[in-house]
Amino acid sequence: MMIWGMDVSVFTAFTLIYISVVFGIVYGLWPRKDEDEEEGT
Amino acid sequence: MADVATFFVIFAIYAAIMIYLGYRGYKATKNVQDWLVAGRRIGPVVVAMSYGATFISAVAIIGFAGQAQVYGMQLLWLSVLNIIVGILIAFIIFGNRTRIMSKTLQALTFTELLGKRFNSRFVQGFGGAVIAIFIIAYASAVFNGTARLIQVTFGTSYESSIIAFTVIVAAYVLLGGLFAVLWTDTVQGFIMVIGLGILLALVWIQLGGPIAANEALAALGPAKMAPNGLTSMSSFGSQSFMLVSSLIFGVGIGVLAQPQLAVRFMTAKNARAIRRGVPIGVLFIFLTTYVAFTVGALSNVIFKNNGIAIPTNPDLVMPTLINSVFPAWFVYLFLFAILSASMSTASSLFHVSDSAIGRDLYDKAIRKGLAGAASATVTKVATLVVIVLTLLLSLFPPDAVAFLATFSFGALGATFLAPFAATLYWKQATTPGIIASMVGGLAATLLWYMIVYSKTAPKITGINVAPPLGLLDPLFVAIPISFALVIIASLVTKKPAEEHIARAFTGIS
Repeated sequence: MMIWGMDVSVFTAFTLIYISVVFGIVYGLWPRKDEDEEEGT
Repeated sequence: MADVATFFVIFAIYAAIMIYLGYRGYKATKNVQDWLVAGRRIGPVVVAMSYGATFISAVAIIGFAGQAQVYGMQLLWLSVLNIIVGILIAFIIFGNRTRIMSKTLQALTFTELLGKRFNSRFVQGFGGAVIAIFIIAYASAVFNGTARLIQVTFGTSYESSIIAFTVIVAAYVLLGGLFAVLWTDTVQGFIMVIGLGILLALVWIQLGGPIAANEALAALGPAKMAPNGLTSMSSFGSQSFMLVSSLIFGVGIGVLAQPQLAVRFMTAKNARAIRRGVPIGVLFIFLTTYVAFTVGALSNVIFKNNGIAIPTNPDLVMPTLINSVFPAWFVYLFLFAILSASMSTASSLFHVSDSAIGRDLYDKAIRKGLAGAASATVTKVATLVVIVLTLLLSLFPPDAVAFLATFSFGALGATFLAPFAATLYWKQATTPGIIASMVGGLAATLLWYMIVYSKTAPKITGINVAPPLGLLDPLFVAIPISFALVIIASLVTKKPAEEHIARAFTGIS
């Protein structure tokens, strides 16, 4: 099965790349009160 | 072929900026802690950009984009591992613990962290020796990739390209230690991202957009190493599947225990600097590996549309592509993106090698920590030794770029991954367990390369092992052995002192 010109086996990799990037952005930017208090120590 | 005079003018400006940053590093460096871990006061942007720029070298862009031309978009799975393992797991699982423990134990190098955690000068000395040997091999692969690009672009000799490149990097590393390395890495990282981002845009514009580009690639039909087409995975168990999966896992997993990357966590000023570095890290790896592998695969369509013969050497695919179909301004920009990728990796490799030789081997293992104030001088002398050795290996390159880097990545990964994980996460791990794991992991890798691995064994020992076993990357075997050894040897040897463990894990919940 082809999606956007890619076989589903490659499209899965493509999707995982985007999911990982979004996860990384949300994880890093999500406010963490404990670390914010620790900042500068 | 691009204009040599224009290149040299831009190169002079570029080199001046790098050496200026080296000078700033020199002014900021007051003691050996500044030289080796940048005073442990680095923020998220520099931690993440430096990590990414060190991680992604010319090998990843030139070498693996060339492999993507051969294997097609299957190589996107390597980009998946680069992001998940190389950034998410490295930063989230390993990052902050490395920072806290190295600070508590006052460790200034990666192997000093292992050595102090296990109260063993052997661990530090042996680790330092392994780093020195394999990092130099890796650095030579980085130099090789860069020199080939300059050679193809300007027609200059391979030798003079390598020598000029080495002099610049050596100058700022010797001037400013890790501060210089981190700051130049950051500037170079931005150049890489800009260059590769524009490259992808130009390729997609030329091919009518991403979906049209993919469809054109798929329409090319089966290729030798992509029998199901260039936008499909090879069939499970086939020779091309074994080759590509071996390449992907060898590089993708090995990244977790690379000393030149792990030391970045030791420079972070706090936990927040590492966590805030994650978004920058994932975007950086996305904009470099995803772009390189996609463009590498799509080069098949561009070569066909423009009637250009595909180079037989995969390392020449990207240089040929860039020089054949893109405007001159972009040739310069791309060249500096690749130079930046090479320099950022090379400077970090130089720094980690000189700290391994100067601090781990000479100061701690041979002089038993007596070098004292001379330690910084020793590391600078070690830098010169590393540079000369790297130059020699670069001038007489042993094999194709991508596979040489895979060899070094594999050896370092097999030696350090299990001990590094045990250092940070397993309080019951013992010194004999760690030594058995390091020595056993390295021995298993080297033996596999010499006796079984079909890309190296026939050349070294003349032994030919048939697929699929012969195509299995050494890491598949060596890492399980290394983990098994640390577990078994730790369970049968004397438990570590509770006070030492309590101290080492101070601040780690």
